Amino acid sequence: METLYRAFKEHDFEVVAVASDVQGAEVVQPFVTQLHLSFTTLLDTTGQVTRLYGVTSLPTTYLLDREGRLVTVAVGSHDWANAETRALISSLLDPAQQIPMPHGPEAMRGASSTAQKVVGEP
Amino acid sequence: MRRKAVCQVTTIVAALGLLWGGKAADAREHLFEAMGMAKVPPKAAPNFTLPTADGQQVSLQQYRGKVVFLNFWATWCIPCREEMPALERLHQTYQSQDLAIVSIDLKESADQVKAFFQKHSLSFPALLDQDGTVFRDYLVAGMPTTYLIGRDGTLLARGVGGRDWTRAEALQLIQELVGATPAVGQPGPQVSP
Repeated sequence: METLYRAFKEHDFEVVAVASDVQGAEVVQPFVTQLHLSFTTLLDTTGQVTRLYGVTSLPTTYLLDREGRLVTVAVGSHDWANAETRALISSLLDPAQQIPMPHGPEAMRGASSTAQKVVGEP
Repeated sequence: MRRKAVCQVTTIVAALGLLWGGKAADAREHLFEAMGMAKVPPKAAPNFTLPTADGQQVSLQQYRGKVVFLNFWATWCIPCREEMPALERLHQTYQSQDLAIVSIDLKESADQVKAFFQKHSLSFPALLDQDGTVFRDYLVAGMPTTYLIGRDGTLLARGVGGRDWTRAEALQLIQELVGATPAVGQPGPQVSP
């Protein structure tokens, strides 16, 4: 996420992390410092936002466009620095770019609806 | 003539057996689907030995012969916390029918987990995965994740995310897996996240 943020932050891209740990800043700040995270991290100690978004699994990531419309949701951890994700973000920031996305939005949507597949088999 | 009749009866019984087996398999599939549990290739569940919050050592192998409800969680995970009362309820209702609820916490201290279990009157095993090895072995990418494991130690299904384990379908699924007669649930404790 930090890599993705740094790659696109000059182009109207924001990463907003919501930490739902009840201990709040006490445990979140050391983590943010240790990993040198520069994007915005919010504290949701009461779970208000977690419930508002109907989150049933952590992590869950929502991707919103410039108008605040929900583009996709991904359940579970994900490699946010991979080429597909970068291409997807590029296309959202500048749809005219027509960046080829062999595994773009559809792949991400697949990730959200078929999280079982994404995590593989033990 | 009599032998022929016996053969026919045997054939009919065998056919009914197949039919019944098929229906049971269908029922199981339906219940997995209703609970949003994805079937996984039927291979042996990776074994592990982990400490409990009470300092005992527990391995998956100890539960051979029981149906295992393996739940990956952490105290900071709200959907995980919300599932816990229902898990305690399943534990209270089905432990005598060979259902083992086993929770595995990710990288938190024994004191933290113990305090949570005491506060919410949870009595099933609380295992600690202090280096995340078992989470990795089970490819847990989101919490909570629940695996259902058969009596022979074979993986049956996996569910990523919290779900309502007090639903009728949940109880039917557990009954189907333990092969027991319907049991009456007991009210469990409530956890406020």
